Amino acid sequence: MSLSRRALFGGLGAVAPPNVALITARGREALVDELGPMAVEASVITPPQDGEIRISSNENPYGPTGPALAALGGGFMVAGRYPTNVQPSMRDLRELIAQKFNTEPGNVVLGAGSSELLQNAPHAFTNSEKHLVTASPSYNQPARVARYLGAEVKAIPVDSAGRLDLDGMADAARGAGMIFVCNPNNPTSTVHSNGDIRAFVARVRSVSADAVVHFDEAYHEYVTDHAYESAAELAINTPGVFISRTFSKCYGMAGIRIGYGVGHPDTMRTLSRYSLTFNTNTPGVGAAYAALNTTGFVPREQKRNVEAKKVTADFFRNAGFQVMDSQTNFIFVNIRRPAAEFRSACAEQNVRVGRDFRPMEQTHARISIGTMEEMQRAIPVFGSVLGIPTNVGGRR
Amino acid sequence: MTTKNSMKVSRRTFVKTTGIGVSAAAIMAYDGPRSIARAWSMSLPQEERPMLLHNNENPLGPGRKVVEAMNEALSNGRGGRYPGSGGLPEALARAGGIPQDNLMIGNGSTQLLRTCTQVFTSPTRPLVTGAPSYEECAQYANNIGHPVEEVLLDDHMMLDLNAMADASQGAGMVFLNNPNNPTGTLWGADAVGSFIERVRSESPETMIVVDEAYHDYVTEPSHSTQIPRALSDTHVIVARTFSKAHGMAGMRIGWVVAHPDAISKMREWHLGLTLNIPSLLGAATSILDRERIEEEVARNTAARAYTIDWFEQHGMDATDSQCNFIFARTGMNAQEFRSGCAARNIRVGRNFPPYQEAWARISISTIEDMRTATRVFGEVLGVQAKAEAA
Repeated sequence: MSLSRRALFGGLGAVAPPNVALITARGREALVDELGPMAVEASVITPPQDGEIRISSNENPYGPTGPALAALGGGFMVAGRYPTNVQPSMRDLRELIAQKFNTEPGNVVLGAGSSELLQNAPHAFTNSEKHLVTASPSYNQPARVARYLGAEVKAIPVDSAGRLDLDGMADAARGAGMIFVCNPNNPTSTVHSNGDIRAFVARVRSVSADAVVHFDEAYHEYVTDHAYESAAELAINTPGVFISRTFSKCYGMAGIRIGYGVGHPDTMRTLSRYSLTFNTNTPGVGAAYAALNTTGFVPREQKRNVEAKKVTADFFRNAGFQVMDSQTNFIFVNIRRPAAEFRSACAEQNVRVGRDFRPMEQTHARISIGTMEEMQRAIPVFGSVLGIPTNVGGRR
Repeated sequence: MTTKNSMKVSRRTFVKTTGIGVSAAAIMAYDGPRSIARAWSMSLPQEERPMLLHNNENPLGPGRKVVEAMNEALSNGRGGRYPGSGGLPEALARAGGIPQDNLMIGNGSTQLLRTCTQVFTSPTRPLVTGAPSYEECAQYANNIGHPVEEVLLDDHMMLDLNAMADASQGAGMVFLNNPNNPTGTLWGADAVGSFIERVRSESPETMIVVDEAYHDYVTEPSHSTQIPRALSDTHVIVARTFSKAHGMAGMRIGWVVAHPDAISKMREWHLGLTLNIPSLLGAATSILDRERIEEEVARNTAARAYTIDWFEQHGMDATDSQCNFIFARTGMNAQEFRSGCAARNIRVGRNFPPYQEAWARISISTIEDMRTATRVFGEVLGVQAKAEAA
């Protein structure tokens, strides 16, 4: 057989590799938000460089747990098979998730990260006549998708404590296709209680019989506020309500792209019509399965996060800067200056913090919580940038 | 046989590693290419595991270097970080000079085919596709309420290029699966070129999407890729996948080559956040590992020829498949054939109307597997070799 025919790009002469533009120092989310609705892969984020502290994208700095890693390694061996054809399969993972929520597989959809669900939900539930309700600032992806599809977006400002204005959002739900509730909210880190959530859904239903309520619970596992409770049970029993979760945060699998939604079977069926074919990768399905079965992991990671977060938040508070009540693996700090300035000054010292969050970008910065050691190294950097004495930062 | 031994090892490794609480150290072992045709239901004894000939997967999975690269992708907690490009654009540039502006990467080629359908068709600009052909675009267009015009294959089970070009007048997009799934048939470069030129001149706004998922497996000399055309023509897109010859179906990664204008339009919609980091590093390694692909193609070519020969020797025929599956005229209803095979623990392809009364799609596994499978086919079909029967 001739070489040219077998050639990968038969007939195409050698061309010099293009000059690949690197965009670094920006969270993955930033690319989604700033460079076009869903675009990312043309824009490159390098992994953290040696000595760099990346606390910009709300990642778990430790990565996947041992059992999840082991499952990934095993999964690579059988990666020639679609995720339906290896056990644990997509079906097995849905069953396990259903079991955790004391419900049926028909109540569960999987996603390539929760991102896929955050894209599919506005696609499924909003259109040029049925608007989207969201908060401002909040996770931006549903708003971008809705706008692309020609749906109106009503973004209700958060209150001064960074809490969602649930009453305002419920009022805006009249005639809506979907209401997006990020709870806890990214980037403000605040959470609403289960009572608030139940009252909110009742209020939405009083103005709209069919608007879909999407609770994104990406940071669920990090919440320590006892008043909080997942909206999962409510979702399972209420048509038109669903939650999304991810393995990207607490479970340390942002690079593996597995998320899921839980809700009423009718809602899930509509949502899953938009799911990518084989959206979850075979090793990732195995890893998620192993992670969910790893007892004791979530409380350990939660405790670690709380400790590193406390040191960081205390530093800012002691210096007189307001920090919102964080129930996540990041904090939202009133730095009393533009986030861009703070960000580039920190970047000069190899500390990468979160992007702009309009409309609060002139005053607030989002800082993800890395390891304790990373935060102890980052604090003096924050101190020098903000002109705070740095000995509170736990120097050795 | 070494195959048998490594099979055992791999199964043990897999079971061990998917167990809970084991050390991650076990994961680095790669025990050489071996059939994972029976990967499914690892908890079952090997003889009870089904042979999977229904999804056109590469039975050997990714190569050694690729597995190593994917493990490396997890080092230092990198699995917890949102992925960058994993070096894949650079590797594609090295392998074939694809400039980054002409490239988009997706969660399998399926995501990219959906993005094309979303962006280039509309309620007033239909999708044109062959029938039967790969259904991803048509199914998605149906989902989002964009019209679909299906053009039946010709009498030789080839995509009817003339009729498809006719139907493309005013269409948003025409989908050309070459070689075509499920028939395995291929149009040579000249025929595809003429088709593209005709559509370009008669319907200049129509996007032409050529899905070359099975490109690597093609042995027919008249074939060549349309990638060079896609680099320069604003309305030609070529889709590729790592799911087939590269053995990475489970990793979910594919790519398209298109004009930068088309890529920009796609980017307005496309969700880039679907890519996992091991797949990016694995694909970047695989695209440069030509030796591995050549081995895989040789394996498939031999096993495919063996299987087609078996059908011919037993008085049946099959299309001239250029893929890692065959489309055979069993003379039996596809559902009945499928159930008969399933009862004997072999899964074969589903119904492909309008050929479901007599034709079956069968994916090609290792030649050892195909020997086993053809024995089963003989039982299900109640046939004897012509020579034996005579």
